[in-house]
Amino acid sequence: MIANQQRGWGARTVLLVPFLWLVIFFLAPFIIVLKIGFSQTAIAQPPYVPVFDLVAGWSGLKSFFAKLTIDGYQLLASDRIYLFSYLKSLQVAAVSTAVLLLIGYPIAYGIARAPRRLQPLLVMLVVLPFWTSFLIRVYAWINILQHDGLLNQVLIALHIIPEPLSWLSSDTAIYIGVVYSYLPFMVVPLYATLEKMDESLLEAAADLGCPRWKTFWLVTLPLSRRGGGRAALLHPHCR
Amino acid sequence: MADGGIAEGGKPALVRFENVTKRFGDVPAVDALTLEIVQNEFFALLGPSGCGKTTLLRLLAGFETPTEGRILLDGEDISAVPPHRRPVNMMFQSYALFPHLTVAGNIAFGLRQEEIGRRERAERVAEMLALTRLKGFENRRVGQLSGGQRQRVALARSLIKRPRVLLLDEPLAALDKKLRGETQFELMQLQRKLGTTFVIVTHDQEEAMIVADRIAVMNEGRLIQVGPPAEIYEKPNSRWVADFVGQVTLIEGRLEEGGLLTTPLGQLHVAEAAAAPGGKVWLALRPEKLHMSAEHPPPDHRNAVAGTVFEIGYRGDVSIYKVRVANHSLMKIALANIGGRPPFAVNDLVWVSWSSYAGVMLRD
Repeated sequence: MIANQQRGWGARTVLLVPFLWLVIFFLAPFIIVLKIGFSQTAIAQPPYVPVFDLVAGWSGLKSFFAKLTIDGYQLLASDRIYLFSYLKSLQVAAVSTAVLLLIGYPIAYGIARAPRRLQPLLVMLVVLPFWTSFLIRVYAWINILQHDGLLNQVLIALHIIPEPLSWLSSDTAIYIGVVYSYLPFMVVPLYATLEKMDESLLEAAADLGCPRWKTFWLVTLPLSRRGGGRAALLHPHCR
Repeated sequence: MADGGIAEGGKPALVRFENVTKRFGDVPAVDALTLEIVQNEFFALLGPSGCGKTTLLRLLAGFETPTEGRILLDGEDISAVPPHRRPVNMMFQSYALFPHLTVAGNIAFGLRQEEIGRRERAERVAEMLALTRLKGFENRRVGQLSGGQRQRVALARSLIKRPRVLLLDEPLAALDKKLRGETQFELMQLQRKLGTTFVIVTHDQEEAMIVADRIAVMNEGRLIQVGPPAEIYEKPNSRWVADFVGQVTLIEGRLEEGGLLTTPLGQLHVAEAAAAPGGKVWLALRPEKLHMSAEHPPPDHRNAVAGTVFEIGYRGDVSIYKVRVANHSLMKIALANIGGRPPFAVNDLVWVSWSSYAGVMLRD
């Protein structure tokens, strides 16, 4: 308690470092972007006006604010394409999060219920692809999805489709890419939550008359919601 | 080896373990065990950790199935019935309360699994809240409760379905000693009031003796002795039980005619009916049945040996004295601290004495 109230000098210094990091690399660029939002493009260096002139002092500050415009925002409102692309982003985020949960939850559940000595290995298998470059892995998907790519070849060989489909540049390709890329971000936090879950809670539910499938709905799922929520926040399509 | 595994006369058995064996791999946790528990009984399974008492409880709850033998409840074989269909509820050592539910949500959980109307459910939850003194806490999350309150929520949750048998797995282990003492009496009152059969697992022999009508002492998956607390304490059937339940001084000897026992401490007088002469026996003496004095004791104390005080364990109400006697063995004597300060000090020369009826003769 006392230690909490009188947080030491050292503790404050340690906290200052991430705080400064966020101010410099997150807050400051944010303010700059905000300012650019109220600027106009110009063929010059820097490529927008007005520029804040420190030398001009108070009058410089006044003329600076006078020249700010909301033209940019009017343009945003005038053309529906901006709204559409914004909504589209949200849709992709929502759908891929749902798909990620559907795929990621069973994987995480399976790992958490696997024999304890196998669990680190299984988590490793989920995380391992991250050791290769993100870009290379996404490019690999172009190969898989292209007209004579692996996916079409396999589907044709299995007589599921008579001729190649065009996968690339479709919504499906976007979902495949996003889900593939962010699956570990879903599986790992979910696994962490499920793995910590007290086995005796499941026994208690059974003891109180709950069959296994119902225990999953009444106990396991609600208790993994926290991990799922964290995972969904990490899933960063909105970033 | 065990006596009393089968309930005697009168009351029919509510629970019957019939030659039950449970093996994990090759290791038997419960070994060919037969035991009956009768209606309305407060029954304790007592033993050191790893003796199989918790496995026995989990077999009854349905979390484990017997490798061999069968378990009967009300005469019906329930060995293969899954836990959610058994009319038996368990209070877990960790309490296993659902952290995402409120106190009322936890208590009502069992009723929600049955077809019980909203009205009746609310009534029975209120009844349980009153019974366990949790009124006013119904909307709290379990994370906001103290250890004692959680313990009561766990108890209420396991009682609300009115089980045929309530199983308690070390229910008081997480409480501090004072609260544990109070809760032991509360459990007894509750059991008498509800008339439900309680089966408690504990490694604390004092707790078992306080709460239970009958105790089964277990070791290595077997029953060693089953009986009422006073019988277990006063008439243990083996050195192991005598030593596990309470404190004891054991003196090895050979029984002669006329109630005489030849021991390294000399000839001791024992009650003649205690055992037939011949063979090796052990005289088990409880610390509170021994007297200690500075002068030679009066002649009605048939047995007296001299020794020096070696160690004193002060407990407040009583002190346990370890006295080194003739053959360098130690005897344990308990004396109530009636006068303000302990009457003897380390290295005092003392006489330890007892009557011929004070001890129990053990063959095993």
